[in-house]
Amino acid sequence: MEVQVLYNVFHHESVSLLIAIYFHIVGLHAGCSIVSITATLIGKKEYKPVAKIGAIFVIILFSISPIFLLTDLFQPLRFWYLFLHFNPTSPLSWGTFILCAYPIFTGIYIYFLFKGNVRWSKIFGVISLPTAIGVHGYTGFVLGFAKSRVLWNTAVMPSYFLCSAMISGMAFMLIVALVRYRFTYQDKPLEDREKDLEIIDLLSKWLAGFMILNVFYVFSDITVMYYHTEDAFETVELVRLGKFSFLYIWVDNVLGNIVPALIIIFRKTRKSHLLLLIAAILASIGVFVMRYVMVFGGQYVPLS
Amino acid sequence: MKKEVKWGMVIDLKRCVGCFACQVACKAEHETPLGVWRIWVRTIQKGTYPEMATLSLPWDCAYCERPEEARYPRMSVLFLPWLCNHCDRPICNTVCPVGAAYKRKEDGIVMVDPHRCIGCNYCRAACPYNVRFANPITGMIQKCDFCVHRVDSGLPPACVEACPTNAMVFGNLKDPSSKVSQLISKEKVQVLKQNMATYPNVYYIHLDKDVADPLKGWEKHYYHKEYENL
Repeated sequence: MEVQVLYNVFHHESVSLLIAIYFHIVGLHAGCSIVSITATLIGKKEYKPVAKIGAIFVIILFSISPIFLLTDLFQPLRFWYLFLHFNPTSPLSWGTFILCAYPIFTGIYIYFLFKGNVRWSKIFGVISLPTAIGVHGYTGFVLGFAKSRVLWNTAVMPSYFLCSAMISGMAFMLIVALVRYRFTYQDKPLEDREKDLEIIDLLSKWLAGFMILNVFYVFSDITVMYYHTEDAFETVELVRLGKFSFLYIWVDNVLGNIVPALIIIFRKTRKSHLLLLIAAILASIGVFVMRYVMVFGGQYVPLS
Repeated sequence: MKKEVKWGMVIDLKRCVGCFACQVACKAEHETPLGVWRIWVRTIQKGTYPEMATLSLPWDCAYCERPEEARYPRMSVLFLPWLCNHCDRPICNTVCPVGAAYKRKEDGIVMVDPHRCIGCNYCRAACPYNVRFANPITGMIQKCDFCVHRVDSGLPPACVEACPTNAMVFGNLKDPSSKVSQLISKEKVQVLKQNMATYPNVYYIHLDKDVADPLKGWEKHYYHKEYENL
């Protein structure tokens, strides 16, 4: 039996491309700052450049990210209402205050990091680590609490978002570290060169670890949806494996996660800096495509 | 003692003839801009007509050429007036970051405060019924509010008043003698998307599963694309 819709109303998408870009940029700087703080807390001298590379990009990326949020509002001049009226059940309210606390604590941390004050940079690192996790974790809850969309309303969403944030942040830092090595290694003594290479090696190994974790999240998300309600089943058939399958399965997961992870895992390919650079760029593109598919694929299936 | 009030609606789909009067009356009452609706009548046809899949627009009426193949026993047209359900657990209120979406305590109407809404669209993303929209002129989130200005002055909502067959019934759910309470207790009623745990207050009599399911036949539905090009 055929069913044909003769008349129906579709209201336009509620979450726009600006929010997808915002998710990506927040993921980038949250990932950078989590890596930077972890490197400081571990406290080894070799990791110091990693912490500094991360800290600089946190400042640059954070200063552009709120523009996307404000321009997405239909009433941008009313943004300060968010501070007046706190709603504890809304993740956007949580995000408002995390987004305010994060630059303060991280700013103090970065100040002490560049001053060379190890003790205070560690203390403020510990304080700003939860806000750095929260600043991207809340976006996962924002999508997770929207119960109308099956693609978003999963328990795996916040950790999946955090994991992809770590990938994008680390890939970005890896690109910067590779470029830095390429342009400065001639002037450096052999010891410094080896230290730089060690950092690149370490970053790429962690990157591969998070990519494998990401693939596991995707696998569990898709398979659980197959054993879920009718809505979830149809959505996963239509979105994940239908219209968005090229972007989601091939560009995001195969090119963005599996191929770079394989490049990093094999020792011969890991030694080649060109391949590492390609892997990091692929991972960055993959994470952006993942945000895009999450936002638009989630809204692709109609609700009325 | 003050009488307890909780407004609700019962829509008898056996009586609905698909005249779209509710949709037009609402548009006229609220002056809703082009392209957005507070209430609309979702219309589907189901049956075994062989060329139904190739139909793209309602007026490309393929069965006009061979009417004997597409008649009553083989196919039917179903209507479903779709509006805000004024849920008991409205997810839009839960997620609104500034508390602009709220449920009126005295009568349970879910409303939007136009002086507080910042237009973040989160309520629209969270609503399982897709009834919220952003007004393209003012940029404010709007939706059906049971014509609160009319209800407060003792009148029924515009859609209910315009309904020629009295398919839509509006009344107090807490009053056992009201017509809505009697219909709910007598008839076999159903709500939309019960699995969403929103506890809606708009009840449907004689609801068909295919017309209530948004996923049925939507891939072949090109109407909205044509509509955007207009």
